[in-house]
Amino acid sequence: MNNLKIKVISRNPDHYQRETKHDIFKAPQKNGGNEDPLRHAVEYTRALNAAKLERVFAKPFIACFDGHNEGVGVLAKHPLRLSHLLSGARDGQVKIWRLSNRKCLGTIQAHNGPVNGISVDASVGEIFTTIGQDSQLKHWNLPEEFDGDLSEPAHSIPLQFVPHSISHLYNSTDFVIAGEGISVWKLYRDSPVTTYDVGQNTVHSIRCSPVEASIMAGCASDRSVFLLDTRQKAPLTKMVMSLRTNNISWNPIEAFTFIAASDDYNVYTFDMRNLKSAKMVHHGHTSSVLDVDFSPTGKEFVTGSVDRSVRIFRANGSKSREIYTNPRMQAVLSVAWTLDNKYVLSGSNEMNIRLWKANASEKLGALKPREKAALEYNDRLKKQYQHHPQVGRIIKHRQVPKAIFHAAKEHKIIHDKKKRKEGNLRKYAKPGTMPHVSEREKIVIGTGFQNE
Amino acid sequence: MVKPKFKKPKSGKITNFKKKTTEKQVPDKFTELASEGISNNAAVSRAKEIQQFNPESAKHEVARQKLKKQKARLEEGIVKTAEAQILNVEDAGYIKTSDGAATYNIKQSEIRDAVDLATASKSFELLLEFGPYRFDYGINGRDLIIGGRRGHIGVIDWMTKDLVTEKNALETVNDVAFLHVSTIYATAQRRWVHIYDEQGVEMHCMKKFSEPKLLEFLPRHLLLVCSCSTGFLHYLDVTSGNVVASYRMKEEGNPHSIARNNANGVIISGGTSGQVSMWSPMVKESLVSIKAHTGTIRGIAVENFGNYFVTAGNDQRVKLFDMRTYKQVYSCNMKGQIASVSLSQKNCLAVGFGQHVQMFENVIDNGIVTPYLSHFVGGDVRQVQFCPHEDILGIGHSRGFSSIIVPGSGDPDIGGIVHNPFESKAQRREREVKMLLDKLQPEMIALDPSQINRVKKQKEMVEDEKVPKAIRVKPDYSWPLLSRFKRY
Repeated sequence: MNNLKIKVISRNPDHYQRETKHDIFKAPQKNGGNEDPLRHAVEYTRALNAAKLERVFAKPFIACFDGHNEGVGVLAKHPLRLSHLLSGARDGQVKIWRLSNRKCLGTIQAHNGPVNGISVDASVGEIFTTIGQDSQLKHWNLPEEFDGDLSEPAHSIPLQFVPHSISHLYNSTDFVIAGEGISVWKLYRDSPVTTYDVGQNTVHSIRCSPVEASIMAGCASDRSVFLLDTRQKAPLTKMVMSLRTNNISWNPIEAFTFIAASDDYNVYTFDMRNLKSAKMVHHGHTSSVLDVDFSPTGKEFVTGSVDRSVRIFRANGSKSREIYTNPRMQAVLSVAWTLDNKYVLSGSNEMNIRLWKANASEKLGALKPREKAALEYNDRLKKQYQHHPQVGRIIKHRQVPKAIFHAAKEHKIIHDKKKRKEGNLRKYAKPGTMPHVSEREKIVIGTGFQNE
Repeated sequence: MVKPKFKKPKSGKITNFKKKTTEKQVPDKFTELASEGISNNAAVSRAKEIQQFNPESAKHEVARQKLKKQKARLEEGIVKTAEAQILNVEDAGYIKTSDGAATYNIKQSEIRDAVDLATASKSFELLLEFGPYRFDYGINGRDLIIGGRRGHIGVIDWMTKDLVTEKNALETVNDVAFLHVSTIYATAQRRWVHIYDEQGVEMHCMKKFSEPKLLEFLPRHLLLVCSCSTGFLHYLDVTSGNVVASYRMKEEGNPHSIARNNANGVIISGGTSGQVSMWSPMVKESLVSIKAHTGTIRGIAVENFGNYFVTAGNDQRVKLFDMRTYKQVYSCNMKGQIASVSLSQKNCLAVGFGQHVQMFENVIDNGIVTPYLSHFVGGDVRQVQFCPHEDILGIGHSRGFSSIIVPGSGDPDIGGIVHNPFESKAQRREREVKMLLDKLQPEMIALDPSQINRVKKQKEMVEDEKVPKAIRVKPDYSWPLLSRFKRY
């Protein structure tokens, strides 16, 4: 029949094959067609694989900086130079490290006793200040091009008391020292500009807020945390807990939030405006938490404790996201989160500073676009399936050393017992005599000063 | 300028007027899609699904806002996908006669004259003397393996007619199948299943599978399924080499036909009892059992998306069943003993009976009424199968292998990663790796593959600890019964 129109699928191979071996392969696409009926199972499989691969590639330990002769009690980041790190040890030595090639640029015998604090100002960054147990306050030059000659301080001031902590005010060269009372100093001056009296107890930590220029928070050995304002003459407010707070860190993004690392194995997030209760309780450590530092994004923080582990928490999560341990690492005395948000440093009792990745399975270095897209897809899958039992158990699981595992188990038994006992007491008490007090309110014993 | 329409929310309140300027044209096209009647179009069915997604059901305001944004994004995505169909370059095939005359008189020689040379060469015939042939197309539709009962096994690239390998197994070959790449194939020989390399070197011999008759490969799960005349069904994981499951199909006896359901990975089998059963490796009993024919089931074919399946029995009937209700939709009488059936991607049905093959176009909408094309094969038909993504039907018969052109049977749009007939060696290796990474575990084979993503509501968790009962479907007694088939 002549009036027959027949069309058959005929594909031109040139449209489907590449022309030269330097081109990329052509992948034919089906636009707007039906979805794959097995897409749910495929996505679940990919999420499971993503979770497993994350654990396979989770190798957070990068390097160990050794050289100190005593436990590293203080770590100070340089706010303007990403790869410079200052560390102070318990024998008075201060070392300056360049993190990018993992070298020690110089060593200074700064003090005759332990170095209690090091601070660099965020405005100019050419001078760093150290305080030591020998009641000395010393300023040192730290030029950009380091030639290693730093035997003499630029300026040295003897103090009347033993200073325990130092912190520079936001964006200025003024700094605050805490020891007996709190004093605000100007650079190169021999006496403080202002002093504050927060009681007879030693103040062993003071931190200036990186957002609000005049707010400071500190902790004293009477188990209190207090707030100061440089614009006021008297301290603002104070809050007492049942165990001592070791250190404080301000959230660099949210102006009113700070976290306190406490001796009762927890870390508490407080809102400056309402110190009557904590915002959040972060538990996980099995011994006193000695130091805490926020990441520059303000979404996560790192803690170091006497139980020989470094934990990374999310700011809004009560359980830790990561735990880093090392068989050779003893009590972690100081931690720092580098300002490019990628690394975490820990200084410990056994004279070493360790450099870890903040995201344990992150691939460092420049990523090709396809690599990056694949990793982002995997991250999204893990996030989507984190509540699925099989995928979630892989994502959450971390291998912890035996000591921490057993200690955590024991603490859980104690905690459960307390809860059960409280529940029983409430059950058999007269209704209304035992109101529920939330965990966050329980830890604050009192607020305000004696004379208020 | 078209004013954006508002959909009044269920509460009856009018939405915030401030948002007027930022609303795009998206809701218009989307509601149009959602109200369309056609249920086959992917965009339409997805639009209907999304319409039922109600952000207002969230309890917290923040969650409600998030879900609203997500819904808007999904709607936009559906509209864009529907519009993207314009980018598909190939068109489906067709036959247009003058004043709508019948097409079933058109011969293959006429079709060959009406198309170009390259397409005409796709219709060919191999005359071989080694017995009725069974065959399999590879996963990319490019390679073809043929196995004759007297032992001849050959692998050719049927588009270019290149011979890849050829051998004689020197014993009965019951069935042949490609594995996930066309460089490895499996044959069901007289006693055992053998797996060969592309050079014809025997790699494995599965002695656990005795008297194998039919082979089927599940490409997403990478499982080789083998049914034996002893009534056993074996699942072999080709990546690790372990036999996932091996059990006796109770209702089957000797299965005469098996087919795989691409949408969920279950195997549908039919045997002498006239029952069609669905099997999963994790369950030793059939998931579903349907009394479909009064005689032996001779052929089973499943639609590409797993919504329908066709069965053919010794009672000379071909029936179309709906997979969701397991009820018969269409039925048709054939003259002659049916040897094999096959459904193409565009729902074109091919029935091979005696020495003829008849094709029916678009059976789901039109039913099995008038044939679209008819072809006289020289020998007794043993197997018919459509080639994926091509308008080609392969016929294995007693005198060899034929390939005929059936315009309009193949899906013109190739979905890249798995089906790529023009893949190079590097692409094939990449595809192999990706298939292995996305390999689905055999535990996930179930009637509803989306079960794995469902979140159980609290009530469901309490009630449903019982194992779901197998579905048994009795025959419809209003079938006209032939007296000689009365016994079941």
